[in-house]
Amino acid sequence: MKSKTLSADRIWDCFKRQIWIFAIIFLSMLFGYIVHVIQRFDNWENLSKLTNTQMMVQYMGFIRSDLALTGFVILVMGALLNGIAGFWYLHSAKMSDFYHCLPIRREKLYWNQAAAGVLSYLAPEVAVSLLLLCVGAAKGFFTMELVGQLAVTVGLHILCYLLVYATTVLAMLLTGRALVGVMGALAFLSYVPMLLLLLAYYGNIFFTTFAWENLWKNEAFWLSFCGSPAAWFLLVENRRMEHESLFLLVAVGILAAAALFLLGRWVYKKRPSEAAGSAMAFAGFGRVVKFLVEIPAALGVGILGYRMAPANSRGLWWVLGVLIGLVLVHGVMEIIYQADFRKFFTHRLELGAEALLAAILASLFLLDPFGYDSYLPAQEKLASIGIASGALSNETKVSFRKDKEGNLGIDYGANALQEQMKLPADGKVYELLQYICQNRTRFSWRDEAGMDTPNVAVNLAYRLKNGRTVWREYRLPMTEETREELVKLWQWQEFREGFYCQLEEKSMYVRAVNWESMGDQVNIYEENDPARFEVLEALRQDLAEAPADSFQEMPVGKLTMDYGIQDKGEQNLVYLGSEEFYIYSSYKRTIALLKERGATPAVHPDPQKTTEIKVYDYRGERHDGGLDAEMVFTDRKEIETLSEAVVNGNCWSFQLPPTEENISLSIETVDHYGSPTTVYGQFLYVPELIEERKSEKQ
Amino acid sequence: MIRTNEVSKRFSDIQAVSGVSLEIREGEAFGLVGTNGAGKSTLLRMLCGILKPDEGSVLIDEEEIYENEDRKQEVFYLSDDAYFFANATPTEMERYYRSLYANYNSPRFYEMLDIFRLKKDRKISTFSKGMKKQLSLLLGLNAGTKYLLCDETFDGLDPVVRQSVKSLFASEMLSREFTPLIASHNLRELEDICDHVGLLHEGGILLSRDLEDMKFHIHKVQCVLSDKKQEEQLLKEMEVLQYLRQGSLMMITARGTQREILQRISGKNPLFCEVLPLSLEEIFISETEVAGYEIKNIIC
Repeated sequence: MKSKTLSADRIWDCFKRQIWIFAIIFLSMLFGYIVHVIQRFDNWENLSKLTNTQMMVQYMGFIRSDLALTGFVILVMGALLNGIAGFWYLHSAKMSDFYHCLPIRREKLYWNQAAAGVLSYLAPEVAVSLLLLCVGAAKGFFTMELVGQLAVTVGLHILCYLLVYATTVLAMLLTGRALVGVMGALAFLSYVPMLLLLLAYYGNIFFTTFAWENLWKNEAFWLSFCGSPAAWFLLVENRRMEHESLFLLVAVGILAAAALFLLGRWVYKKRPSEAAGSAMAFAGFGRVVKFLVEIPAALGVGILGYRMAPANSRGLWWVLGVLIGLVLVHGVMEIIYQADFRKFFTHRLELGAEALLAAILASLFLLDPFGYDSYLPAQEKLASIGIASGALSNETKVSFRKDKEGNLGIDYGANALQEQMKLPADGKVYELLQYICQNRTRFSWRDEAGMDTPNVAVNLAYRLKNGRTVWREYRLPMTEETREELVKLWQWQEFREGFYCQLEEKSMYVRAVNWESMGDQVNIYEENDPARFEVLEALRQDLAEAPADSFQEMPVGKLTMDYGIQDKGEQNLVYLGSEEFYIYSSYKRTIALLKERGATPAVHPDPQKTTEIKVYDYRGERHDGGLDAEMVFTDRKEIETLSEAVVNGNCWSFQLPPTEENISLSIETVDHYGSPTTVYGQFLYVPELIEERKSEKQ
Repeated sequence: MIRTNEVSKRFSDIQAVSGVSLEIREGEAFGLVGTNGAGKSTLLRMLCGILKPDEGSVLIDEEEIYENEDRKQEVFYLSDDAYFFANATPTEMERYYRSLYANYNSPRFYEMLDIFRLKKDRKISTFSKGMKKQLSLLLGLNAGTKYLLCDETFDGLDPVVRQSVKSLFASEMLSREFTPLIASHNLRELEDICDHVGLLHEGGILLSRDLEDMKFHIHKVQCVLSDKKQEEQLLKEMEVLQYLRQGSLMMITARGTQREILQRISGKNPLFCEVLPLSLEEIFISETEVAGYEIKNIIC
């Protein structure tokens, strides 16, 4: 076979010289794919005793996930080896003279070598994947869906290989020394994600209101990871796991691979043969690389200085870190470029220019000239607001989400609720936003001492009418004024719907319901109890009708919902996650249901069931903050007196009545089933009885 | 024909070749001489299309050589440090070159391999430096190219092999269109093989002449004249390149045919007169001194 540029003979010549790489790749795949799957089958059959249906699910998962990642490691290794070894000759004057004096155009040399590099991965990947299918089929597992999944995995591997390989080749073409070429290849593979993370880390340190969501939830941010082929693959695999469409990423990958190969061809043609032995094949490009490497590296060293320094001198150490980093990295780059240790301090003008650029870049974070922290969109531009704060309640909250194939997923945490919450951008809400924005305080390296004072984190999602969402994270001093402002949130139905979100949808996935109050722990609904769905409906109605101030009373207990889903190949519901709900005294329907099921909702412990209350007092003046006094109360009257002051120790939120600090207690009581149990509580106030006992002891 | 027009090449701040214009005619053996660092290798690497000139052009049979597959089919470059594939044998190298050069003469290669006692299936990495040199010469000679560019080719060869190679060159030139271009810093090496010699110094060409032409038109004589006045008159009449005196013995290197020079000397009634053989090295020294270059110290 012979075309204008490709020739089977030439490709075979190149391939033969790299046959050791082919062997390494083939053996790695044999172990990583075939031996691995045989061992898995053995485990599934003999250790886990899985049914055929379950094994099919596991096998599919192996192809989609394990194989993809094992293959990724092999392909990166193969691409680096092929790219470096295949174009190594360009870094040796003797070898490049040999090839470049032959009657072959450079374009042909490039394409034939590149084709050999691709072939030495493609052949084992396809062969071993087919063998994998045969192993599965021999075990009795073969469906077209499996073939399809394997084809997708192999296709993604090949595309990622092309990207990593073309990038490595490009690095070899742009450099003239082997060590610089290898370093260049590694830099090309990791530069964009490293730079993005460095800048994001700077934002996180220097901007008080920096929110990671602006990056994590930004498609452009993720797409920019395609600047690294390795990151591209991990991104694709993540999307694949989430059953999201891969079209855009794959299209980007194909275009990028084509562009990289064409760019490689252009560079090869332009690359002077005499570049062998120089650090960089093109002097101008070499200078640009210096700037691209040295400035971020210096900023990175600055971060190290910042992290290691004591809080009151972090700014100084950061500046020193950047300067020292710049000089060091510049010196190392000069040594690498000129292969001479004596050249450490050469090109001082470039060093000065880099210092200036680093200073400009650093000042963007330090001085915030674009007003990142003071950002507050105009009221008329706002469509709605999502608010989240860990201080609102320590109930475990979840939100459900479905991917494009309808598979259910679950997100934990206050921030997961942000998306469900759509506060209207009316005057009162906007006033709250203004309050939050105006009271933002700088808790970064300039004022770390402030972190010891009571404060509250509030995350806001500004949903704009133009469709964009901007996230900010504020930290406010926890003053009475702040508390009053945040308590107002409960007035808005939209806030409650966001905080206790998706109740209708969630009721379909309730698997079991558990109740917990002061020693009262009841399994309200067993798994698969047909009545288990009614509790969320009752809660939903109670929540809608509850007066705003009812959320400021101590809860009478806590409900824990276990959610589950019928999964493929499973007989029972598969556990999905759990969510907690504080139950307030105003929740009439829910409390009635709970009582029907044998629960006894109460704010205080039942003195009749309590046999002993043990109090641990830490309020003394001991320097080590240790236990000052331990008191045990068993007298019925004393227990009754104390019980009035005791509330559940597991319920906390900023709007609830404050409890006494530095004093705790344990209660010996009997649970719903008559078994003795210990629960922990808090004092709303410290009864005089305790002070009396304490003084008696002293 | 190989022709270079004002070819220049610079490596960062080093001007390796500067404005070199040369013509290498078909069928002649061209010797390129110069000191280490004179730019011989750079010029050769441009002539075979490895390097692209910064300025000027390199034409092989009136076509640019750089990135020209057809012209490169006519040129084989023998580097001073030949490269062979890792673990390759002479057979494998021959196979590789055969797949690239349309007129590769494989039977003759194996024939010569036997003559030179090089084993065709032995790993080249186990060959001595001289054996590798021989192998690369045989690979190049049998590539069937019109031009063979040799960089310091005779270095490392023993005198017997060196002579054999010179004979091979001569027989190739007789049997087919073959033009060897031999770069060397050793003038004596080139004297008995080259028809034409170019001298390269500090990136520029000092002179380029036919060897016979130079030898025919420059002679060295030693004579003794009876009269001082006649001596002075003789020196005025002749185009003297170099003149030395030892007692009454005059040693003159002068331009002109042997007959012309002897006629002039016999007209002065010499007491003694003898024409001495002139080596290529002496010719170059004389020529370059005339050209204003103090070359004594730069030619080995």
